[in-house]
Amino acid sequence: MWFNSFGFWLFFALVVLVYSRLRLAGQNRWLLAASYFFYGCFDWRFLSLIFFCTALNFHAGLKIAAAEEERQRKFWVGWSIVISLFVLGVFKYLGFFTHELSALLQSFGWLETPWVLHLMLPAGISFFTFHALSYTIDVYRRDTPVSRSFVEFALFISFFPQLVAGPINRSTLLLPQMGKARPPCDEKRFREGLYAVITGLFLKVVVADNMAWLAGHIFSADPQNLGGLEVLLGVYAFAFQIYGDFAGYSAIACGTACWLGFDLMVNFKRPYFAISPQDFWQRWHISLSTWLRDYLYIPLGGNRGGSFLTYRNLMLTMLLGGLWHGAAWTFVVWGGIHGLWLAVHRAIGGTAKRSSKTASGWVIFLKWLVTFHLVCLTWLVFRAETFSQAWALFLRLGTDWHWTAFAQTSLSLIGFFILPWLLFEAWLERRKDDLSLLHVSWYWRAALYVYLVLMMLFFPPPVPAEFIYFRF
Amino acid sequence: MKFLHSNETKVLLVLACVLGVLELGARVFEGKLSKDVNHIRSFPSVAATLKAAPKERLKVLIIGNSLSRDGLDKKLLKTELAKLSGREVELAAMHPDASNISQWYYGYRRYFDQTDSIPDLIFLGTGRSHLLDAPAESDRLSAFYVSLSDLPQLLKEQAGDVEAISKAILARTSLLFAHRARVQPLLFYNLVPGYTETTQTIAVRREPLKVEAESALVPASEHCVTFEELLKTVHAKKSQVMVVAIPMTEPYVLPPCVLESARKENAPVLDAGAAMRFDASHFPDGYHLDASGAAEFTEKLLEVISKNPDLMQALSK
Repeated sequence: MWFNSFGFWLFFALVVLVYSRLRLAGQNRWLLAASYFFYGCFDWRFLSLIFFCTALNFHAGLKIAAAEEERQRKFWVGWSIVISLFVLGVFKYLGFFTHELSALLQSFGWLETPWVLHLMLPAGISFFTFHALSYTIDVYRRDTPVSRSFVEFALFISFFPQLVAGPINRSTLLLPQMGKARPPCDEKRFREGLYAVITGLFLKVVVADNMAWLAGHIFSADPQNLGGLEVLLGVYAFAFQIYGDFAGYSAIACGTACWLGFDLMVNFKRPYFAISPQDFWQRWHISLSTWLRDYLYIPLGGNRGGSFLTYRNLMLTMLLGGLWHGAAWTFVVWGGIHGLWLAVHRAIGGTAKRSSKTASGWVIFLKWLVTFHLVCLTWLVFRAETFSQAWALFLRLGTDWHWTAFAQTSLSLIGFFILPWLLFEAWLERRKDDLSLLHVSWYWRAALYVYLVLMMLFFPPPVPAEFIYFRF
Repeated sequence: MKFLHSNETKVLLVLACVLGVLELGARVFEGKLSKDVNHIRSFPSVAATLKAAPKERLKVLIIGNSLSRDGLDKKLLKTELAKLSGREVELAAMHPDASNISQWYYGYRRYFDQTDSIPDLIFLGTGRSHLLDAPAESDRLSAFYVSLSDLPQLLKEQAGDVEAISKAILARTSLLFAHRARVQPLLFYNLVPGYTETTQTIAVRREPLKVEAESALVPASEHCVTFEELLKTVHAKKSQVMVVAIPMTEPYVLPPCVLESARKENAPVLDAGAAMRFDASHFPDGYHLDASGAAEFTEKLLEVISKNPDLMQALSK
C-alpha cells in the first residue's frame, strides 16, 4: 500500500474518520490496529517479526528501568542491541555474507560453487529496528522514561506513516506523543499537513518517477554505448530520483502524521543546496545521520580523541551507514567515500566556523557546484549494480560528449520537471524557512498547489516505480 | 461561514475551480486531443450508420487496433467484397490505438451488440498477443468502452484491486482524469527534442528485459477467455467472425489458445503472421504496414475468403 496509491488514501480516510471520534486510549488501539493492517498489506507473514521486535525491546526497556546495578542495565541494553541486530542481520545481510564467504572459499578452491541463500527482506526492517534501538539506548541513558504501556510502545514502533521508510523517529520525540492527548487537526495543522502531502506526492509522482525512467536507462545500458554527457545527465536524473523518492515519502509521512496530531522529525532540508559534505549530511536523511551521530559516532569517541580517532570514527560511522542501506559492497563503498570526503574536508579546515556572509557569492556558488557534483558521483556508486559498472560509467564521463537524442531529451525533461521545483527550493533557501509558503498570502499557495496537482495529473511517469527506500 | 473564510478553504476552492474548468474543457474540446479520441467518439455514429443501412447490404465491421487500421486496404476490401458477395457493402471500423481484446470485447458489446447494430461479418485484426487475456487498463476501459450495464462486470474482474477499481470509477466520472495520459505525449512528442527516438530506444531495450524477467518468474500461461466471450457474443446474434493475423516486421504464429478458441467457435483464421513475409521497407515506422503492403495483404485476405465456404455463405445470405 504505497502512499501514492488510491488504496492508501481510502485507508487513511477511514483511519481519520474513526480516529477523530475516539478518546486517547481508543485512538492508540485504533492506530495500532491500522498500522498492523498497513504493514500486513506488504506481507502479513512479517507481522510476527515486528511484534517480536516490539515485545523484545519493550521487555528490555522494563528490565533496564528496573535494574538496580549498572551491570544489569548494561546486560539488558546489550541484549536488546544484539538480538535486534541479529534479526536485522539474518534477514538483511545473511544471504549476502553467506554468498561472499562462499565465493572467497571458492577462490581458494575449497568450494565448487558459491552458496546462494534467498531470504525475503521484510519491509522497513532497518527503520523499525533503529526505532526500537533508539528507545532501549535512550532508556539506558535515562534520556527517556521507560514505557509501561505496551500499546503505546507498539504504536511508537509501528506507527504507519513512518513504518516502512522512516523518518527514524527518536523515542524522545515520538514516544511522549503516544501517551498524551494529541492536538486536534485545526486550520494550522491542516495547512501544514496539506503542504507536506501535496509537495511529497509531487516529489514522488512527478520528480522521482519521471527521473527513474531516464536514470534506469543509463544503469541498464552497456556503458560502452553511452556518451559522457548521457552518463552525466543520467546521474543527475538518479540524484533527483532518489531525492524526490525519499524526501517525497518523508514529507507525506510527516503530513499524514500532522493531520493525526503527531509531529515527526523533518528528514530533508533542500540537500542539493549544500555547500560542503558536512552541510549535505545535515540536510539529507537527517533522521539517519543524527541517529548515527548520536548512537554510533559519539559513543565511538566522536571528535574528542584527536585527529586520527576522529577520522577513524567518521569512516566507521559512514561505512556502517552505507551498509545500513543494503547488503552490497557498493553501498559500503558509497558510505566509505562519504566518510573519506568528510574526513578530508575536516582535515583541510572545512568545518571551521567561517561566516558564509563573509564569503563572496562566487565562492559559495563554487562550493555548491563542487559539493553537488561530488554527491552525484557518489550516487553513481550507490546506484550501480557492480563496481565494474560504476567504474565503466565513471570512465565514460570523460569521453564522447555528443549531443545525442537521449541527452537532448534528458536535459529537456530535467529542466521541465526539476527546474521549477529547484527555483521554489532556492526561494525557501533564501528565506531559511521550510514553511515559508505557509506564511505568505494564500493565493501564492493556491497557485503552487494548482501547478503541483496539474503536474501530477498530466505528467505521470511512463512506468510507475516503487519507493526506493522501502527496500532498505 | 467561518469555515469559508479560512485561507486553506480558499486554496482548496481555487484548486477545485481550476479542476472544474479543466473538466469542462475536456468535455468540450476532447476532440482536439487526438485523432484517436475522435475515432473513439465516432463509435456511436458508426454503429448507428451500420444499423440504419438497408438489410440487403453486406454489413462488415473491422475490429482491431492500428495494425488493422494500416494493415488493411479498406477501399479495396469494400470493392472486392462487393464483387464476391454481389451486394453493396457497408464497411465500418473500430480500431482505436493501442487497443486489445479487452477494449474490443467491451467496445463491441457497448456500441454494436447492445444497440443492435449487428454486422454480417467481422474481421478481427490482431498481432500475436492482442487476443490473449492480459491485465487491462481499467480506467481507459471504463471511460471509453464499457457500457453502464457492463460496468459491474468490469469492476468484478478487477478482483478487489482497489487501485484499478478507483481508477475505473474516477475515469467514468471525470473526462479530465480519463484523458490525463494524453497530455504528456501530445506535449513531449511535439516539443521535447529527441523524445520520440529516446522512447523508442528505451522501449526496445526494456522489452527483452521485461520478457526475460517475466519468463524467469512466471511460467508461460496464455488464456483467451475474453476472446472466447467475444466470439460467443458475436455468434449469439448470428454474425460471422474471421480472425486476421496482420503481418508484422518479425514473423509470428498465433498462440495455441487463440487457434483453439477460434476452432471451437467456428471462426476462420488467416494466420498470416508467419505465412506472409513483407520486406522491412513495407514498415516505414518499424511497426505498421505501408499502403502497398496493406493492399497486397488485403488481396491475400480476399483470396482466403473466396476459398472459405462458411465465409462465402455469410457474404451471400
